[in-house]
Amino acid sequence: MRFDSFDFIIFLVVVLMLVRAAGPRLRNWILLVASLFFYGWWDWRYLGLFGFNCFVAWQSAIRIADAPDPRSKHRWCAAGVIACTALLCYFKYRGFFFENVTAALARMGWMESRGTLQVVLPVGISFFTFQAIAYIVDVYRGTTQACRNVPDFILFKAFFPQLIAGPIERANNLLPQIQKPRAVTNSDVIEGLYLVLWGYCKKVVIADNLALKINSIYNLSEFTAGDVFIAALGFTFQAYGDFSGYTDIARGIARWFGVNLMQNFNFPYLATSPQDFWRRWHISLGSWLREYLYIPLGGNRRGAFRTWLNLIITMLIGGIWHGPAWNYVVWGAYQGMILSLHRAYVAWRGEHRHSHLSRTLCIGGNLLLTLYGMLIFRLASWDQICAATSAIFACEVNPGFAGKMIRMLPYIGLILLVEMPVFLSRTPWFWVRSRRPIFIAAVFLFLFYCILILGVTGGAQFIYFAF
Amino acid sequence: MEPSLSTSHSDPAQDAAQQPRLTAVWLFIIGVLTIETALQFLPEGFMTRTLVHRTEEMRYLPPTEIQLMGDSATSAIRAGLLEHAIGTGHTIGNYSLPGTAPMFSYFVLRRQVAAEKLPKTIILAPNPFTWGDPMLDRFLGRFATPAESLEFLRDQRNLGTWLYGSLCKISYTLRYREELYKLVTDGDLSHFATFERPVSSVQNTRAKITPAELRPAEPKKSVLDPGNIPPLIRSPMRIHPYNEYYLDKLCALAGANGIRIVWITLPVPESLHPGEARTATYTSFIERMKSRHSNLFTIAPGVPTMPDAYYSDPWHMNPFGAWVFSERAGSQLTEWLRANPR
Repeated sequence: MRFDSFDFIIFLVVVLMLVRAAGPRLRNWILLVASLFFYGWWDWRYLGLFGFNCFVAWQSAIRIADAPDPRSKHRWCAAGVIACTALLCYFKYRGFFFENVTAALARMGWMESRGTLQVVLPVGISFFTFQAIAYIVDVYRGTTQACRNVPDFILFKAFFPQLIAGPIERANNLLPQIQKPRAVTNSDVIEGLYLVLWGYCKKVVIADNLALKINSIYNLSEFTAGDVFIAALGFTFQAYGDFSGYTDIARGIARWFGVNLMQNFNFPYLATSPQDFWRRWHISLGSWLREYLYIPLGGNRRGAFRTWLNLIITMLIGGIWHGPAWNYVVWGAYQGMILSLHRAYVAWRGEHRHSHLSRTLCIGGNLLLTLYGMLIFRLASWDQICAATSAIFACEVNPGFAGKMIRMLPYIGLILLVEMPVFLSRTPWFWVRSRRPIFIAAVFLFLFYCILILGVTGGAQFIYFAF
Repeated sequence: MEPSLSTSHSDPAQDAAQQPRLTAVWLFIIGVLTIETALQFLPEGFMTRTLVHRTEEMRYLPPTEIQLMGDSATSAIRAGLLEHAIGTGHTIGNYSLPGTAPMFSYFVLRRQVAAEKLPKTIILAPNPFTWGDPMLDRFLGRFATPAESLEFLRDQRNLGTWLYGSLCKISYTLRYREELYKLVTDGDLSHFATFERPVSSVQNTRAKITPAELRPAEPKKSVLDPGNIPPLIRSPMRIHPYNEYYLDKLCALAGANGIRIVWITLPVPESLHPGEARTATYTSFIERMKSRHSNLFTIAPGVPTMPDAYYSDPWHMNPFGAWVFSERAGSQLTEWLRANPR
């Protein structure tokens, strides 16, 4: 059930009415059943896999909490993390591994190529696996308590707004909200409505329309610099609209149930450095990689070379987390490399305060790095990456360039129109808090009619559903 | 320090005191209702009026012996030209409806059965590229009666689609979102320009064709823009289950009423030929349908082509293309009628 389907809207209305009608005790049960129904809608067989993942995380955490000595705790933690990771690898990377190993063996003449292995990817597996690993490690570190109430724990894992594509919620944010009785305030209703409308606007108006404008370029085998720029710029904003749109819808819906999900995007394209970018883009993944991978690898505590290596390893894993494809590996390596280079630059020149001019230049420079990163992320093959990269240096612009740019600008402009005042005023709820009701209603009407008129029906799947 | 978008309930007592009222939400709902009510005073669009007018006509016009059915691409075929090509002795009507799918044809035939205005032969001449889209929002929002709409819900059990289609019936914005999208993105005002345009009637052989229509001037150059081909034409050939379901029902209903269906695939521009794999998908679909219905026949299997210059856009033939096709289809049909007398 996609967020942008009418089936989901009916589902949501029914669940909201049931939760509102029910007493505090029943609410979590209704949400739990609804969340499992939501997940089972794709394929009920995935529920078994999801249940197994929940069982592993829950059981590991209980065992860690009850373990008499640190060694046992460590063993249970390792067992839980390995079990979750193995499940993810089996479902997500088995086909990729098989395909590449057989291709390599075939190239060496040791066996005939046997084609590909078709493996169905359970939706949301990367997200709920990372959530489970974070929970097990948090219990091991003692930063969160093991949850002994099974329904509460399953609801923490299955809560439907965040189940399929995050944010990758941590137990110490979401579990207490599930365990305590919740009240839905008027602010939750209004701010939730704003998030939902703006989220849908970003997805069906901005991301899906930009996709229509650029998808044909990504099917090319030869590019001009103009094509590459349009493709990179279009996909950069498409990816933002798609994923941050999903997150906003998820956060808005969660607010209607009295739950605050974590913030996942914070003006990422206004980042001044690659490091800053990862504090603003997919924050729940960036912080997960930092807390559960980069720091355990040693972080920056073992010298410059090891820091760079840790960054590259972390980002390679972050890249392949997105999917079993070589372009994600290249993208991860690219992210690790620019993070390392930035780290080396800071070590050489030292941290300094930005003037307005240097800040603007840094934002511009970082945006260019991001554009190239997004290009790698979206291109389908190594040949395409090479062709696009060489086209950049050829500096050739095709005649339709200006027209294509002009057709994309209104959608990028819409993001700026809505989000720049929030950024400049430093007021998170710029459009809806401390405003006259008529103003807020006008904002809602504007967003609603943008969705109704400009939204692409039957548009592309949310990009992050595939991860 | 950048602002954080996350919220927290730091002090419940203070929060409760500072809670805004829900006035904005109510104003928003009232705003939507007001806008939608005001839009109801606008005239219906050309396509909707055409659908309503033609389906009404079909109920009271005398039936023709041969009846063409299909979409806007099919409506380019002049019934008079076809009659001219076949020869006298056959009455022919072009009952195709612009922007529609087999579901529409089935319900049109249902209405004709109820009105006892039945043809003897139906020529189904669909565009091969449109089978992936059942045009449900158009069907539910612009065409179906409440009873037909409920029948769709009963048969397909697709509550989400049905509800969306029903909302299209109620909301002008949803019903005309395609037209409004073009208005906002391209400044295309044609939707409003057609408010006054009278709708065209079902064509039949009683409408005399002019000498100019009998031999239109041949266009020299193609007007197709290779950079602006609709995605549906380039995407893999897909037969939407609803299209197959309602084509099945159309054939069954025709069979029950002694009507033969002759399937003539409309030609596509040469440069847009779907290729072998997509043609195979399409052909196997036709064969599947033929194996289920003994009253379904095909003329000229595969996906035929015509020069790009014979088209006014990727979907529709220009008058010269329609004339060429009518001549071609006419002779094929004559042969078929001779070989398959009733």
